[in-house]
Amino acid sequence: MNLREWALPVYTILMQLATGMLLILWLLRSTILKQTAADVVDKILRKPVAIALITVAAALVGSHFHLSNPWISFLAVMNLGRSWLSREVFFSVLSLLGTAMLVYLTWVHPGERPRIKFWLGWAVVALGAATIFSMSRCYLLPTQPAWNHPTTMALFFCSALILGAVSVFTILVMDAIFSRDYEPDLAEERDAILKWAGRRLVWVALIVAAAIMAMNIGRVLEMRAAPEDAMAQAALALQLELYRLLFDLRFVTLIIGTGMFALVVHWLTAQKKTLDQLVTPAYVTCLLILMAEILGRFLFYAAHVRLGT
Amino acid sequence: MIYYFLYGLSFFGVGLAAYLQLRRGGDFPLRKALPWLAAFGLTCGADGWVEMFLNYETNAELLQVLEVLRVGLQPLSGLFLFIFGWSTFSKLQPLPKWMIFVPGILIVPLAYILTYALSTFVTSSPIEIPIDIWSRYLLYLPGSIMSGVGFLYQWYTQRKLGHSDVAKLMLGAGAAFLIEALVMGMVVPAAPYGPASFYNYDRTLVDALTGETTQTTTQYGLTAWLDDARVLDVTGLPIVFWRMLSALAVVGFVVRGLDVFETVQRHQMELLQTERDRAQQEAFNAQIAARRTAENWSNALIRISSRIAELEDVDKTLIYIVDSACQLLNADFTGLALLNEDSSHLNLKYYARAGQAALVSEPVPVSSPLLHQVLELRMHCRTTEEEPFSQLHDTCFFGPGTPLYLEAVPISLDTQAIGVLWAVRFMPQPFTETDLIWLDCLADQVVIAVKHGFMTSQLQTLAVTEERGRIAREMHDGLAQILGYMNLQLQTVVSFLQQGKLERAQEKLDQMHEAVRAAHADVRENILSLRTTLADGKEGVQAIQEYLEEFGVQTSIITQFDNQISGELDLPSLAEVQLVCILQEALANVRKHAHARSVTVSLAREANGSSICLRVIDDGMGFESGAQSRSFGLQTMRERAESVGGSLRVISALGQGTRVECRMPCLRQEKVHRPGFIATTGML
Repeated sequence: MNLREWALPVYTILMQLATGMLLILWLLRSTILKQTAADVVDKILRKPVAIALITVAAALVGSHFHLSNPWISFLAVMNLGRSWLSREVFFSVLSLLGTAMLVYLTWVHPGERPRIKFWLGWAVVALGAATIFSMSRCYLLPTQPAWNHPTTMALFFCSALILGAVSVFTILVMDAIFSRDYEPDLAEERDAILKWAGRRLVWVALIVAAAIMAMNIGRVLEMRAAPEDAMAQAALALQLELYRLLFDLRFVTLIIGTGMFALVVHWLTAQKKTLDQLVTPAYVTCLLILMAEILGRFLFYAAHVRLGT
Repeated sequence: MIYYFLYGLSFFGVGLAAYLQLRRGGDFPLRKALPWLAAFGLTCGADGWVEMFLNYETNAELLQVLEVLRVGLQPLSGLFLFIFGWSTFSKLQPLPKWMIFVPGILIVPLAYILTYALSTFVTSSPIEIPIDIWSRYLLYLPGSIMSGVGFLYQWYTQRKLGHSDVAKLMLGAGAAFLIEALVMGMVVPAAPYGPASFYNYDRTLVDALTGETTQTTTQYGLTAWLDDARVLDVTGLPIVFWRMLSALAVVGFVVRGLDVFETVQRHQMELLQTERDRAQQEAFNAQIAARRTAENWSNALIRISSRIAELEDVDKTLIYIVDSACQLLNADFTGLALLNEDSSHLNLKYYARAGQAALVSEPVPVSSPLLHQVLELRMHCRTTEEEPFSQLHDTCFFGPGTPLYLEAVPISLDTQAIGVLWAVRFMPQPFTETDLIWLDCLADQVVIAVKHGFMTSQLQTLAVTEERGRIAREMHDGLAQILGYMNLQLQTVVSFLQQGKLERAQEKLDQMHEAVRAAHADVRENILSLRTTLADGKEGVQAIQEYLEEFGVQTSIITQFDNQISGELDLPSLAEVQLVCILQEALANVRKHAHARSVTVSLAREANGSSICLRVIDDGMGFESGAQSRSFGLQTMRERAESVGGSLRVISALGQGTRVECRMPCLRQEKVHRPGFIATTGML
């Protein structure tokens, strides 16, 4: 992969990260709104929503470096009726606008119009899911046997889930420390929500990480089981020979990252460490899982073998 | 080869200088970070020398070893520089609170960069190329930038502290690290991957933006712009030379900066020491001055108490108090105003100014609202700069002067305020809280003096009444009896004369003559007693001396006075009066009852100096010891002695004369001198 091709992992991973964050945030919001006042919930979740907006924007900016000419990239949406790529771009832009509206509502009108926020949030999540769906459909090409597999879509959604879970937790930890001086009256609620969310998100991360590994290993076994398939053998050779180092690292970082996430949540809920002591482990956790997913995406792009010309 | 040698040497110099600086000790900024700089310099120097041998070594096995060494040393030295940079960067305080989000946000680009870097290791280029490139991008570049920013922050703080020399060197060190970031962190070998491909080679960034592809010409098909070869082309010197220069700049500025900082710090320590010594001396002087002031005040209070105890005239005492206040408070005017009899006006009674203190003969009304407020509310008052000076009018009398500061305290007798004592300063120096406390002490002395004045007046009235009663008793017992007796005798004489009994009449007349003579002696003695008082300002010893001389002349009894006391008697005034009265009573007894030819009066201080002993010894007929309790005169003498804390002892036997001993406690004990010890105990 040359540098310009790295725009693809940037765009896909960041879009999945933003969608996963919004999904996790709105799941959290829908649950904690039953016990906590709407304005408090908005104040606690508005910074993660703003970071999701920055992430979507960064994804779209990154994607421009992959297209042939950034200045005419808007033409990509012209084939909306028959191109998954056009739909992907279209849904991405809608996701950006929807997320921007969410940011506006949660920052400028905290506690107000909860129903609009509820439906708008889920709509943005749906748009993000549509983006990921379109994104994965782009790769389900008969000419690319390595990509043309159900696990492609599943792995994209899994990436969204695990990245969303870990990043939302890390942002909530940072925000809890940052807001300690600015919103001391919300400190207890933040702490309670962080612990409550941490206990659930760690299970999400563990299950999804297991699923990712299972799918990847399954795919390798599947390719091994088809020695007559030259395309599969070629892709397998790329993964397990040329890119073996990265292939192994992808699993190592995923396992260590998920394990650290579980450890951080345990430290938090068992009150073995203070929030300030948890910041660095949380950063490292997030970095490792993000690296694991980027490595996975790199291998996804690098190890494909095109059929024909 | 020489470039690589010098390159290695310069970085080794950085490490060595940092290490030596560290060994010198001292407390300077970045001390904790310095070991990492030393480690960086030493490993980077070693890396340079390994590179030197790599370029000229031909032995294949040794080359392999050197390759392994270089692959290990370069990231290691970069790691040390990164840690040093982080240590200096983390000194930036206080960082804004929102900075907590920065590492979180940086996670995303960092994850991409790390993954990208990892991916380059699986390309076809030799392993040392990605190691070199990523050591520079990921370790040298951020390490140098953080170090540069850290030193620039030191420049900012040292400049604020006024250490301009240190600040300049810190600025130089910051700039040197930033240049090092460029030459060590950004100039990398040619490689077919970024981010060098973005800025090292022509048009690559433009290509990314335009989507076009430019024809390129280097070994990887790219045109060099900022890689090693390009630097050589442009400057005529290899990049190693520029890296060496940057290292020398770093070591020069950092080590020199730390040196100068230490010098400045030492100089400041000396200044601080001098300042501390000066402050200590000032504190010591202030302590002495405070002690002297306290001593002055104590002495003044003692003198005032003595005057009060000695029943000095109240006016004089109060003038003395006002004068003391003026002197000790360093005031320009002090006044004591008292309410008149019907409490309708506050009149200035005593004042002191310019070393002069006096009693005000004519009442001078005081109309200052501030002083009236002090009187009415019975509060203490001390003006400060914040208060309006207009309040201070009518607080200074008998001369020019603009009062700037005033302090005043009420004079309260029992529960009633009777006046105000105040002090005024014309100079711009406010009174302190301590001054107010001292003034309050003087106000207490005023109250005591006034009370003593009342008591003395009452005592004098009582004494006059008592004396008149005594004289009346004396006349009743003496003259009145004799005159009654004479009246009866005269009637008897008249009767004898009418009957013609001349002899009997003559006999009665002789008796009358004897009675008149005795009465005359009594009267003269009484007159002598009345004349012998201490009211004329006579000393006790002098009064006794004169009385004895007169007594001898009047009674023809030989008198001897054995005075063993030099100077004053040191008895309280009342005790002195009682002592003289006891002596008179004793001598009257000698004249009337003892039939003595001589009497000896001795006055001596007891051995321990705590009391005065008066002895009256006659050679008369004496009396039985049992008669003492029946003697009204002796009983009176004993009561007189005991009323002032003294005692009386009478020793007598028939035919052996009489000895009267009276002991009175002294006003103060004499100083008792002992070797190496001088003790002064008081009985005030």
